[in-house]
Amino acid sequence: MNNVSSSDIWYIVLIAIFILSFILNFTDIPQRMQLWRFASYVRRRLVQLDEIENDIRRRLVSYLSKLNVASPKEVIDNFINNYFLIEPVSIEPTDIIRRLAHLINVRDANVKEYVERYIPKLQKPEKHNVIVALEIASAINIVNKVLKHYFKLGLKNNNWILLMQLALSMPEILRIVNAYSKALDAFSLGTPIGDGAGPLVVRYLVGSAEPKVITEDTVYYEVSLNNRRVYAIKAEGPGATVGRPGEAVDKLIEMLGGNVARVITVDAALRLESEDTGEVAEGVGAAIGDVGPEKISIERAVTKYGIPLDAVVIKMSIEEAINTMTKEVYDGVLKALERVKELINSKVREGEAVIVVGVGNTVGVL
Amino acid sequence: MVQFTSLDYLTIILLILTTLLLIFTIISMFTQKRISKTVIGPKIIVKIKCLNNDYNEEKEFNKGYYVGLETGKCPKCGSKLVVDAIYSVGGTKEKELR
Repeated sequence: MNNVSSSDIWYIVLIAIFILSFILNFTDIPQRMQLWRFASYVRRRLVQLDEIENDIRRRLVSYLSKLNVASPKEVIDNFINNYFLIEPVSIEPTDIIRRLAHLINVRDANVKEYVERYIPKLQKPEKHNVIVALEIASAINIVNKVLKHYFKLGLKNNNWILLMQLALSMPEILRIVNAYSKALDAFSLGTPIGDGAGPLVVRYLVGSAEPKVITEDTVYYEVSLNNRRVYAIKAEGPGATVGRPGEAVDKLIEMLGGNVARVITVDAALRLESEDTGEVAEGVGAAIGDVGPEKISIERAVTKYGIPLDAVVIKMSIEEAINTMTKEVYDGVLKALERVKELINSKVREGEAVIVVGVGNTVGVL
Repeated sequence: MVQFTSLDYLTIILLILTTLLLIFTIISMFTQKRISKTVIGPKIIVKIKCLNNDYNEEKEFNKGYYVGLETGKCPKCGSKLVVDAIYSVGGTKEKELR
């Protein structure tokens, strides 16, 4: 019979702790273990992402088939692998916005020409919806490809930090990708989305007034509100387009010879986690989330004539912004409408002109 | 056969610490914030109203509806009926559990 005293056990434990401490401090074993853990986690999420992408393709094929497209798979594949945009040179900033605007317009024209070539008999609103549906599939494909690239790079170089970053970012990325996936239904059905809050405010503001085209895919209305001349700009609906609100504001201000008392921009804004959907906030500046050209057009036009620029925003999450408008966002639209009317009544004198810009995607809103 | 001769203080402390560590691990597992998602079938509502504001109705969305679409004549005054709003109710609700 062996008698083991507690001091013997402690001796063994101390040796084990020493060996463990040596392994933890002077070998790569812990990092390799973490790398396996993170790699396994990311791999499972990438499988989910593949499933989402395949599901989107299936739904898009079904949507295009209903529009009598002969070879929907070919239309999707050709679109997804092409139509990238190379950003203009930025180390020489002169004219960068003009160059960027030009490149964006060229890409837009190419995309429209592509859809026109494959689906020529479609009405304009449905054509815009198809373009956005293809853009959604393309965006998810790019996200999937980029994530796989970094995953493989991390494994190849045993870069556990890269894999850890990926693993920690995956839930948020998947949340956004899921939101995009659901958005396909909104665009194929043609329902208004959360981002359409701005155009919807304009729709309610102008009532049954007749629209006039001011620039590509963008219209304006002229109405009177308590003896103030209101010029309201929005994208041309009910197809999925954001139009060119910046260019429209610039043209309209020039048309009016700069005699504009105020410009009010209304747009959807991403809410913080602590904020509620449908909250309305008011501030100063151009409420528009574009890459630059449209926003700078508004800023330059108002600065040229010293016109005050207001912003009214309706708060919502990214999921709510790109999916069918929820009741909470709709209630926010009604609040924003009242806020815009208050602004006009309190800050624009009778007889003066004011421009209201409903910024956002006008899908489902005439 | 191994036989412990005595349990000294250090061994007891080690046992207590190990037990506490286990309890802490189990508690932290069950107290992590969990998100429960309740999926209620989202329903898309279409609000239709008369331009003279004397009639309105609600119906379920069908493809082809959009805000501003004329859907017919008002049964009361005969003026235009238009789609006034389209929005979804229900959908996925997230609830945080502790």
